[in-house]
Amino acid sequence: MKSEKELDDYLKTIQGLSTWKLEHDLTDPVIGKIKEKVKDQNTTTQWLAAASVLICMLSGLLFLAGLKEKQALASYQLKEVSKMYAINNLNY
Amino acid sequence: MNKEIQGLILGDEFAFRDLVKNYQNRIFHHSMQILRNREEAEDVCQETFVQVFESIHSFKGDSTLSTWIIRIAIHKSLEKLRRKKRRDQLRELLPWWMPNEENSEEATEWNPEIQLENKEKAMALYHAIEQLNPNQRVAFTLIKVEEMPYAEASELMNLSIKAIESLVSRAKENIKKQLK
Repeated sequence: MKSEKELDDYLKTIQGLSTWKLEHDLTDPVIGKIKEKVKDQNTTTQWLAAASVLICMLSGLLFLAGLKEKQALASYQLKEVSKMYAINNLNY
Repeated sequence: MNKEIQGLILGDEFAFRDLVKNYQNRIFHHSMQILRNREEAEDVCQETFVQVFESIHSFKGDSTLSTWIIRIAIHKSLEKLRRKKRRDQLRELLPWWMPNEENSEEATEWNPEIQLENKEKAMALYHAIEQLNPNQRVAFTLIKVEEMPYAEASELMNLSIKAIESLVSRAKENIKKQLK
């Protein structure tokens, strides 16, 4: 195992070196990436909104279908009751 | 809140262009010191700016804008190191799984300013630093290589000064063992 002083000697070889510099400007790629991200977010939002509208419409249709079914059932029941009533009256 | 930050919050493209121009080399330098891989450091730069764009609304001004941005960059570099470490472990376990992966050693870039007579020592030290766990590596690089004050490193790594001291001390012990 090296001593503290030896480690310092090693460290001196890489301390105080100049700063790393980019070889090309990143401004345009970064702005492009952000614009793409914003566009993606907008598309996702639009898809989500469209899906929500579709789900609302489907729910509405299901609700209306249920209502219609209920009405049909009620009128059928009413008819059956009136039939029974007529039969009972005949019996008497 | 200053004009620069207000422009960023409002999504002003020119304010953002200025920000990228002003900070890109600083971010690149810090990421390069940690990752020593140009391609990955550039990725970190880009990811940092995207994160800044997405999170600028949450910037409360507890620290300076530059500290906040460099902190994001260091966090991204740490994430990259951790991911790389996991991939290396996986490659060791299952070499047939990722046979064409580039060897990280080959992509490592050395500072061209290292003098020829010091090259061997510098390489040995860099190699030892690479063996450290990501947190120790970042703390050691900031404190010992970049010679940053503990308080600044603590702010950048979001850790207490005591935690940084402990990381550096453990990193030193590990490096000394590696260099034996």
